[in-house]
Amino acid sequence: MKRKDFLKNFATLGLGLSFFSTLLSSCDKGSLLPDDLEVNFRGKVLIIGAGAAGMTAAYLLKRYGIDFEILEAAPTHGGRIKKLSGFVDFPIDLGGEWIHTDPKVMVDLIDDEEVSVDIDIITYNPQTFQVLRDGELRSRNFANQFYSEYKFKNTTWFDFFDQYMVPHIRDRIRYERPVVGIDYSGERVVVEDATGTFHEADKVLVTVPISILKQDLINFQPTLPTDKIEALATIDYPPILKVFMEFSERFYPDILIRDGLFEQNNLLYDAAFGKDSDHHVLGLFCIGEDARAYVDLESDEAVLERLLAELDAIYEGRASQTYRQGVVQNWSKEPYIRGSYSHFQEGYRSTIDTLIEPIDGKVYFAGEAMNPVGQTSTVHGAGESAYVAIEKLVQA
Amino acid sequence: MKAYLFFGIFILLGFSARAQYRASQLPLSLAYYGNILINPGVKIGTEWEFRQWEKTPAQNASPRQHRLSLDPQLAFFQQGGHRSNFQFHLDLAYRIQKLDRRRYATWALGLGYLQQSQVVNWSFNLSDGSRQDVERTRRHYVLPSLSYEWGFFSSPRLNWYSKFSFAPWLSAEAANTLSLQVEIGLKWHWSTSKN
Ligand SMILES: Cc1cc2nc3c(=O)[nH]c(=O)nc-3n(C[C@H](O)[C@H](O)[C@H](O)COP(=O)(O)OP(=O)(O)OC[C@H]3O[C@@H](n4cnc5c(N)ncnc54)[C@H](O)[C@@H]3O)c2cc1C
Repeated sequence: MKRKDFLKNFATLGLGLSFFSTLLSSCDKGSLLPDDLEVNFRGKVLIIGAGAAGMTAAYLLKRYGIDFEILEAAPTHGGRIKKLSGFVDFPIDLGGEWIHTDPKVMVDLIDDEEVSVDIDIITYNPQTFQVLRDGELRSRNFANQFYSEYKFKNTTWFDFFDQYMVPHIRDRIRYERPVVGIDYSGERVVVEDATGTFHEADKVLVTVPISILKQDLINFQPTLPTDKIEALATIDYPPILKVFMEFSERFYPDILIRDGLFEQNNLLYDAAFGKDSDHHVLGLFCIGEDARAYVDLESDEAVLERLLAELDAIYEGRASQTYRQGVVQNWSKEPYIRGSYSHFQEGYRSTIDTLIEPIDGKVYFAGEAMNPVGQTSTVHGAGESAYVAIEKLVQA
Repeated sequence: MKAYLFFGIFILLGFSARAQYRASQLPLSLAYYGNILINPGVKIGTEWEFRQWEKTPAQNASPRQHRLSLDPQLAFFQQGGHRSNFQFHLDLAYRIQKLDRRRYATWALGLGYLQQSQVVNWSFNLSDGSRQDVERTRRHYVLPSLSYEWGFFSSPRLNWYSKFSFAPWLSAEAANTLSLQVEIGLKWHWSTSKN
């Protein structure tokens, strides 16, 4: 089976698909673009959003010598990949953290034999598992027999893009330019940002999170086709937050799951697992209904307090006794993210096909929810989606 | 192709033997062995029979052969491409077979030693994906086990079997865990039994 097909089959499983990720290392790998790609297009492209998809798209356009600009709403690039330095002695991934496939997917994304650097990877195979059910803590270490995936050792997903793609495209990123309108009714596309500036291009590639499209935060002229609007409505985009807490002692397992063992929607994990560090950092990854209890709290302090109280209840007060510092990343409150990542229903492949269909040969789409060749809802999937979009765009 | 040839010769040789479907005193086994089916490995083993008796449970019922043996086994299996496991296992096995049938069933209590070597840290080159292992860790486990085996003689000298073993993995230095091991293989009865 080709890696592509395999990935497709498990695309909707979110974190759960990680059980299979190690299998993928044996599958075929290769360039994401055909060698004989015909580049016919010679105009200007505007890319909306500088997340994994937007940066990859820009990196490819630069390679093909096509004029482009990225309009990014936030003051920095990365989107849902974000790095926190200085918290402890290793960098923390506040967004995308795990590598849910064979890490060599990065070779495909960079696709440049000149970039001869080694990337250090941790085999993320936690050994101690606990499950909290009805207030009772149970050991479930047998999960270590089959759960395994990868993480960066000393770096992050953000570093990967920042070090190997951004240097090629940095001068073309326009920060703090939230796009509010895309008018594709004329010969050229006119894009308006929140500062009232208009930008013109021949084509536009939209890579914003689907929350932005679902909530109509960009005014398309003419409006988006009905089938796209209907397709967007079928995709769930639940709330999410991550919290990291440092303790002077370790009292927790490698993973503590607070819902079903195979759900992985509410997990606490040793964020220092496999890192060369003496610091004890516990991460919280909480998505969906469970996340609502935190994301709507009035402040980060309130989130930390709540989580400490919960940990104290589980571990007999040891959390507050050994607590040093904490940080909260509430993605649901980020104005240009507004949640987590796409959760598809049955028939997601046709939904993706509908979403990525270019409009009038002028408006193209990419992003984690729009990957027709691999996993959705992931960092590398977002990168792969950019390859698909650019392949179409440069040929037209 | 080679594998088919190998099995073909095995089966042909088997049919040339006396038509008696019983375990020999020292059968040899070769099996696909894994911790859950997707983690591949191999196992070889033999059985040292130390007691055997026959009983007819009721009139007109076919006689049953009961057999006790000590079964040493050696196994190697991979997990997720980064864990290599070597295992030595000894089963105390109780086998029962109706003498006019080709099927048999075995229950076994066992004890094993497993050494696991895991690549915990590795690197790859961004230009071509070439990979280097940076750090390995070794873990040692003792595995008490409970197994059930089901087998079928396709010829007097050859039987196919599948075996399921439930085993806690106990370790002084690593986290205890447990697994269900699956084994599918064949046994070659190169000298037939006393009876
Ligand atoms: C908490 C969390 C944990 C995750 N964990 C993992 C993981 O472990 N592994 C994994 O593979 N994936 C993980 N993911 C998913 C992964 O991070 C995303 O799928 C991926 O980063 C999305 O990339 P993208 O380019 O599609 O979108 P984004 O990264 O969201 O990029 C879109 C960009 O568009 C910008 N934007 C929005 N609106 C506008 C506008 N109007 N005008 C201009 N710009 C705009 C945004 O600011 C953003 O920079 C996680 C996600 C979250 C939130």
